[in-house]
Amino acid sequence: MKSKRDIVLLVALLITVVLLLLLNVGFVGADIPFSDVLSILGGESSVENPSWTYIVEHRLLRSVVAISAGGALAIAGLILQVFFRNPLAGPGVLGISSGASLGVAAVIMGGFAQQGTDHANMTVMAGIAGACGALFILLFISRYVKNQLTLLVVGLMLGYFVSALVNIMFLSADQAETREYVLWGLGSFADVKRTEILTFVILMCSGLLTSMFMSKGLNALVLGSDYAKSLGINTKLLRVGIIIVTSVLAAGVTVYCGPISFIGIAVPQLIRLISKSSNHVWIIPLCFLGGGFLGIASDVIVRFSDNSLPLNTVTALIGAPIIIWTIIKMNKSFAGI
Amino acid sequence: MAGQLLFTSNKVELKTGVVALVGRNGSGKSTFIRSILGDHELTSGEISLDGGPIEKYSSRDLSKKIAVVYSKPQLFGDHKVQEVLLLGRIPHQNIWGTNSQKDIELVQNVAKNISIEHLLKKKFQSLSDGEKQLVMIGRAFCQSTGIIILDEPAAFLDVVNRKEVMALLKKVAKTEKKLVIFSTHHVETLQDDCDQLLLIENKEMIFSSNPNKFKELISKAFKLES
Repeated sequence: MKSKRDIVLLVALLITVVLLLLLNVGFVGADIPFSDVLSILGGESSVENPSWTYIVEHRLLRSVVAISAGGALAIAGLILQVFFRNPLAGPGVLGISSGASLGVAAVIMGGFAQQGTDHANMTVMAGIAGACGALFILLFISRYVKNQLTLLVVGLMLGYFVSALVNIMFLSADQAETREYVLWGLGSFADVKRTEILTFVILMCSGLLTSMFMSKGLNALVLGSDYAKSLGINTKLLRVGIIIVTSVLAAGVTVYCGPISFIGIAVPQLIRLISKSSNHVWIIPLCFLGGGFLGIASDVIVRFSDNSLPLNTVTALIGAPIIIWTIIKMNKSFAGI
Repeated sequence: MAGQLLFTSNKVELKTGVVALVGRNGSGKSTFIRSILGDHELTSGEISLDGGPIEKYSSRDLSKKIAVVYSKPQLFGDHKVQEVLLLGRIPHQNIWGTNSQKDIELVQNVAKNISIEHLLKKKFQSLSDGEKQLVMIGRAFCQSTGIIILDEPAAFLDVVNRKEVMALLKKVAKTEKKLVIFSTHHVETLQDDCDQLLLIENKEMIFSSNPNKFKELISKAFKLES
């Protein structure tokens, strides 16, 4: 059911995200008059202008990345929560981000990439492969482990296992490689290059679109897979769709921005608490905007700290309390699972 | 086990009314139900629906003909009862799953018919087990299908709730000319609960439409009386 409240929420989130975008592009960081920013964005200034490079590369691009990455993580989290019927599921907890990290680590430190070459594409592929791999292991184990909590523990163990493997890779890696990996692990929305941003945004938006088309299936899936099938949903196709979409979204973000925690669990929880709707056609865009909001808000904080606060520190500071609060609030309403 | 023969059966034709599916654990009730739902491939024999074999139906087409209720209601999320009932309308909805005014009216009518109107605005998770199962059955009614299959719908209900569910099924089968098939282990009240019986005994499925004979058939099958 669509209600006025959801439309208001959607519009409010959209306006807040746009305002934060303006704030991030126009004011935070180097002191450039806002009118100059406008004229630069309006195309009145040339590419050679150092302010142009600064505004576009250091402010606009990372803001766009922050919004789409946050939104992507939130959608991946939402879908995983419905799929695994677990309000605490998310790309981070289930080890999907860890899988992607393993792919990235293998490319950065495993000698797969030649020094000095552009290994961006390779990292993306390796990251998606790692995320898919982690999801398949989870799916396999979830056949035998019906308990929701146990599956989360399995996801955490996957995470530990991966970091152990990465530690082993550290042994053979040189200092520059190790440094690259550690910096990546802190998370940042600033590392997506101008040449990569189109790929990144297309990847994220196609994930958003595909998940919108899965709304009806997700609506039915709240009753469980058997019921969903009896409601005419092609559950096999939906399962494949869910695996691909969540892997691509989580891996895409992880590869480009680092393993960003908390947004993926916190946002879907919040949205489901606030929203009146149970139709995913509404919940998915709400989650995207909610994730985008948390993403860019975190980036604004990072930039207010002169980039000295790592992104993952900020998302943890904001996200962890939200998760605890929602667990307390939700305890009752999710008692049935 | 694949390819293992569970039971043989003569040709049985079911039209409308309430049919009980009875058999001991492991006799093949659930497999039979899954076969009707197209979830299990038959190794031999045939189940047809409206003249065509059931395997030929896509899950989408099947969902407009058969609704199902499982023994344990499960829901992820904090839906209101009305939203749970509306999930039954999914087969009839467009790709975005939006509820039309007609859907909402239909759901409210169903709720009225099965006397759960007062629950509509309540959260599903706050209901008792009996109420939850009533809602799940209501959800199946909302699917507007000619056939409703229930896999041990009253397994987790107390005597009073079970009676209520059975009376409800009987009423709907009669007034809306539906075919209701339910599996059960509660054989004591069968002659009141249903008008037809499918009994799986000794790898054979026996059909009876004479309620007076149910007791005798079941006693013989379960060796309750010598």
